[in-house]
Amino acid sequence: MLEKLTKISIQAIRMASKQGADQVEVFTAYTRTRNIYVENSVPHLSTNNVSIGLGLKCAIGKHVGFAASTIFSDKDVEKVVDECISIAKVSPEDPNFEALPVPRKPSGTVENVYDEELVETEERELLKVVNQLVKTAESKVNVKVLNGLLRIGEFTFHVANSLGVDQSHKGTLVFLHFSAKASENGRVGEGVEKAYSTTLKNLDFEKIGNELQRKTLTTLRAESYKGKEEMPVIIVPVELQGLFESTVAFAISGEHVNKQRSPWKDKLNNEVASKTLTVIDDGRMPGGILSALIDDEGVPTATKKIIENGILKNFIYDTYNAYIADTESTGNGYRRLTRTVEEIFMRPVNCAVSNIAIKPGNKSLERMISEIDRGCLIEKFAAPFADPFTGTFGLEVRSATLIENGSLEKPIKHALLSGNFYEALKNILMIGREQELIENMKLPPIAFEKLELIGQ
Amino acid sequence: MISLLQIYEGRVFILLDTLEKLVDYMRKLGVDFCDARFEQRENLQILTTNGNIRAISRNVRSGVSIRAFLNGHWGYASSTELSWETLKSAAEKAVKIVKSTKGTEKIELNSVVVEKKYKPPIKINPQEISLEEKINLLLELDKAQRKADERVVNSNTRYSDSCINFTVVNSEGSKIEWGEIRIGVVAMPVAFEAGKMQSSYFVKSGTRGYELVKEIDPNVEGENVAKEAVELLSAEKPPGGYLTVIIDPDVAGLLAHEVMGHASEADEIVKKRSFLTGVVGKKVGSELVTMVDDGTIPGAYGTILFDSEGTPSSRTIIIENGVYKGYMHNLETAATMNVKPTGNGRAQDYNRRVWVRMTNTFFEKGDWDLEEMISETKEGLLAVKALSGMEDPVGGGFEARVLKGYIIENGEKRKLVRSFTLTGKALDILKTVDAVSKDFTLHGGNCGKGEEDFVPVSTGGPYMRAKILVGGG
Repeated sequence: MLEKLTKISIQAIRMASKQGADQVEVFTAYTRTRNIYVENSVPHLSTNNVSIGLGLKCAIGKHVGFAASTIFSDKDVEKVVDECISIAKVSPEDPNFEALPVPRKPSGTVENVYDEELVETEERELLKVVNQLVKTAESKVNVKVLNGLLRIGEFTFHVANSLGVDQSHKGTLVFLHFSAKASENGRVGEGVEKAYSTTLKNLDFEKIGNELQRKTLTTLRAESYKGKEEMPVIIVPVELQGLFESTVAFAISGEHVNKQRSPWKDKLNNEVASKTLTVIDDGRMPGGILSALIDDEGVPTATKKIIENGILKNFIYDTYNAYIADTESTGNGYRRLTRTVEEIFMRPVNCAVSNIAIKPGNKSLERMISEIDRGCLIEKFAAPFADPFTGTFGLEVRSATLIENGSLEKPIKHALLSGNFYEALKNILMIGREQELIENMKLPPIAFEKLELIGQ
Repeated sequence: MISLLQIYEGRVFILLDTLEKLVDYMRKLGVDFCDARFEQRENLQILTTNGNIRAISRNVRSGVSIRAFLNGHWGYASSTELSWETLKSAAEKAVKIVKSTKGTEKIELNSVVVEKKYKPPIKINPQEISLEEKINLLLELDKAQRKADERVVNSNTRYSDSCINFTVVNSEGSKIEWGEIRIGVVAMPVAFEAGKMQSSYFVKSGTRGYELVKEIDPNVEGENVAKEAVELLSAEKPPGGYLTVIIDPDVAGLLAHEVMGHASEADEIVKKRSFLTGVVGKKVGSELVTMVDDGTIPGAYGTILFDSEGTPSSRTIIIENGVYKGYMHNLETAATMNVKPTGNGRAQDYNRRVWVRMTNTFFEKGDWDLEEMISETKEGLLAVKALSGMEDPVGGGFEARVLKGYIIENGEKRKLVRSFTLTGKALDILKTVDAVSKDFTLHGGNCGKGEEDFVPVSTGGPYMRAKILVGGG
């Protein structure tokens, strides 16, 4: 497949250069996605989707265009080139555009990003693990798995430009999202369990099924929260990820810093979080969803300290934004996403985090709970996002448990957790020991000193 | 390689008879129902930031989705390679997959058989407007934001148009070709002062042609939205608690869509996942509450001629004067519940599965004036402009983050407050609705089911007054 993609790339660069492009970048990709959807406890719908395509960026001086297409024949390549050149010709000058990436040879290795065995795994094997998960979750009589998705993605991409970049990468991806409902005497509860991986091997389907059952039964027992109080709050990794993505990942992006809209634009080498917080952007995290030797512009990836002991150390840059900031790309130009590999060639490069790792603390979750007199452990928000500009949030709590004298007591739901995530980062009480991979972030649970919980 | 494509007005279409051949082939492989859908999706997007072009991109995607239904289960396969050999092998794959799931239930799908070709109902095809004209409009809209106030530190705009051509053939005899055109313009300024940052947005979108864009005065809209962001810099912290809230049409749309809408999608009913399972005929809101999903509204962003299964779109009354009426369906849920499909079986694109999805979902208007609603509110909050919301078909919980609000004191709109969240159980909120305005608006957006599979929809309604839990300022 790489041979076919390389041939398309070379063809596109030649054609665009011939038509007057000063600089050309081409990203070609083959993707295959298999989905198994569970409905009402059984695999109900399965898919097999294949695509091949091309994303092309052309610059004539500082006039830049981007065009992309699925590729079926040589004619499609010609059409993309014509389209891209015609866009560049009418596009006003972009004074910020300097150049595409220059070739830099990646050194080192990247581990656990492609699983040959997964690519070869037949449908019946996939159905077997899905059924095992459902059976485990439904081992208690009132739990039913109503929705589930197991997605297997595989991709090969080639990225090249007229300055000499010529790189490729292949990877695999597993995304799993299951929800179950429990009913009893007119009460209902719903639990959700997700998993992210580059291989099936390290996923324990029985453990996932058990967790799904536990979460479902917890929400079944949950009561609507009444009252309004400030308390320490522990947020588990699966919900913490969205909060980090909407704030920290936004604030450290070179694009937002350049646009003057990052709240941390003037905070380099200043304190932005508690001393216990260290955050790393690691383009080569073993088994990381976006890990590769190169980013999606063909620039070598690296491991960068973002926040070290609470101090903001670095921003991240793709090539375009690095030129604006008069620095070098940090290997953070991405088109790929974390839950699907479908048609990754359609998107232009975006300045984004690679894989984020939050340095774990030394306390288990049980120990963290035991050190809180009165507080709350949050396991599910409706949607865990804060305002990227201000950090404010008001999140509907779908599943949580109140902590009394160091023990988990009453499960609650129908409450609002409110606060400011940029401020909360400065008031971290404890960081847990066990990390989980959620999307492209490896995070432990974190306890924040004081957040407001409001009930009806 | 057999050539399956034809060139028509410069675009590539897969031949209808190729899809017919695929459907015939699958039928012979032994399935209860099958269909094949070709989609060609052309999309143009222009982004500007701080007075400069940030990106201009055009995408063209073509693919075929093939579906096989057997013993109550589905097998799907899709391909962007359109040779007969590849499509034939995709059809075989779809059948092989469905046979491996070993379903046992016999369900007879009854599709609405249509044999026709339709053009999108627009006045000016956006593809006939020069790129320069679109760029100039955006640069004006961008400039107007920064010109409005020096505290605007970042101005952004986006133009997008999408032209999709569908061809659907199924084993019941439907053969349909139709087009969908959507267009949208967005402006988003960011204002900064003394360590505080705020933003706002302007959106105009619809299933219309470039005539929609011509209605926009970039100077007026750019200035207005910039002033709104700047004004928010001095907005106060919103109050928290269980309050009387007047929600604007935008926020009312979120309540209609996120809670009542998602929970009225019949696939959630068949699975008994929805809190609205079995409530047909029961009272779920005050008499002032009527809610509808209508995919036929001319020009609205969620309007579709047909759904992805080739069923014509329709108007479904979900709540009428407070009484719950019924659900939205695709082919499978309609067959399972023994009713007619409503044209709500939609897929994000040829790579994705069909779910039951909404189109244009809204509360019907009432007879109050907004001024009258405010003057008759002793203490409360006016919630303005939705930012985000999340569905909860199981629990029936409502969550909506709004951009801003105004405190109402003794019947007067007073202090401006910044972003907050509204939450509570939807049925509790609907039961307390005691005033509904004459004003009515629909807003376009993209809706995900769960956390993905996005389709264009619109939501909206009138201003509505109810008791809602407020927090998160």
